[in-house]
Amino acid sequence: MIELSWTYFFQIVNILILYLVLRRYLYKPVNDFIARRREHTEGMLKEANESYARAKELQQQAEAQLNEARREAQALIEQAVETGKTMAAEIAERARTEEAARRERLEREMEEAKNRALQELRQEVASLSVKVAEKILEQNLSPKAHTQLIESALERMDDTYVN
Amino acid sequence: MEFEIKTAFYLGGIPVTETVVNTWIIMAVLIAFALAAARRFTTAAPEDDLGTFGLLTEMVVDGMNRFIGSTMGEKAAAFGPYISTLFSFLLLANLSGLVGFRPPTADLNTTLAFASISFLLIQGTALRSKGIVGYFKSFFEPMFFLFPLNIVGELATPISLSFRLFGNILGGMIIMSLLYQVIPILIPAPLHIYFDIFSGILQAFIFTMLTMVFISSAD
Repeated sequence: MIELSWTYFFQIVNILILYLVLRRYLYKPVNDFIARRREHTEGMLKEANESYARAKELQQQAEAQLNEARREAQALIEQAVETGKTMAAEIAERARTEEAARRERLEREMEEAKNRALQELRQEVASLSVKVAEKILEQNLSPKAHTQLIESALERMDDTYVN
Repeated sequence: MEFEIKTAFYLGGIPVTETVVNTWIIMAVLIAFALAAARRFTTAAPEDDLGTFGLLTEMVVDGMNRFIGSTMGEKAAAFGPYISTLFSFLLLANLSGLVGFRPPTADLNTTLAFASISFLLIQGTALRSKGIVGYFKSFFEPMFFLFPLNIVGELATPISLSFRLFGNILGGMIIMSLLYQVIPILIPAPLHIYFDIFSGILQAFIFTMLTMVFISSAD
């Protein structure tokens, strides 16, 4: 019990064997696993942080683009309104011009028609006069009566058509 | 005297005592545990579920790593496995009295064997960090005539380590045996909690803790 014996050497060998076996089959695998998992976890954490930063950056970019798009849309709307106003003014102006031109042309046509009618009337009167003259001649009128008749006819004609 | 260690058998003329046989049984338990546990750790991917047993194993190993790391610092990586082995063995050896074994630590041969290894580790660490010249010079410091005292001081370490553990466990064992002869029921139960569980865990802790502290301060 207190005296030293072979047991001393047995126990030294025993603890060394136990140490080698436990180191090989317990501490090494477990510690390797812990290290492996720590590495894995740190890797994942790093990856997550990177992803988060990238997502944030992308979000900022998207917001910037959205703002840009809004500004462009606003500009386009304003431009369209401006164009619309200009076009309306142009259309109105053109309509006014065309209206004036049309009126002028109509007046001119009316004038022409009137003149042409007058012209035709004159010719008609002249031929009528000849026919009247022929009629009178057929009834053997005196030259005096003849002249008187023509003149009165012409006078009446002038009264009716010229005025 | 009935506390004498019985010789179990002879191995080619060399007596193999009860202490050695019990040590082998405890070793077998620890090795079986290690083999059962290690399989899942060698093949497991980092994200795999280890199961309750695996988690428990990891908790024990990692807990010891942390504890050794907090005591020994950077030397923990090199000494961790031996210190863990020592603590695991001492713990089971001291607690083996609970299941009716004669604790292997109630034999000076066992405790002196472990203390000798601790002594070698302490001296080895000192030799390594101080160099051969510095190591031998340290025995003559602070004055050369203190050399004998320094030698005694160094040799006292394994002796105090081994006798403290041996004495505590043997003492507890003797007290419990005497108690069983007087009152065999009820009363021994709470005393087992003190002599086997409390004292056993404490002494295993003290032995490993002192080994770690001496190795650390050998620099």
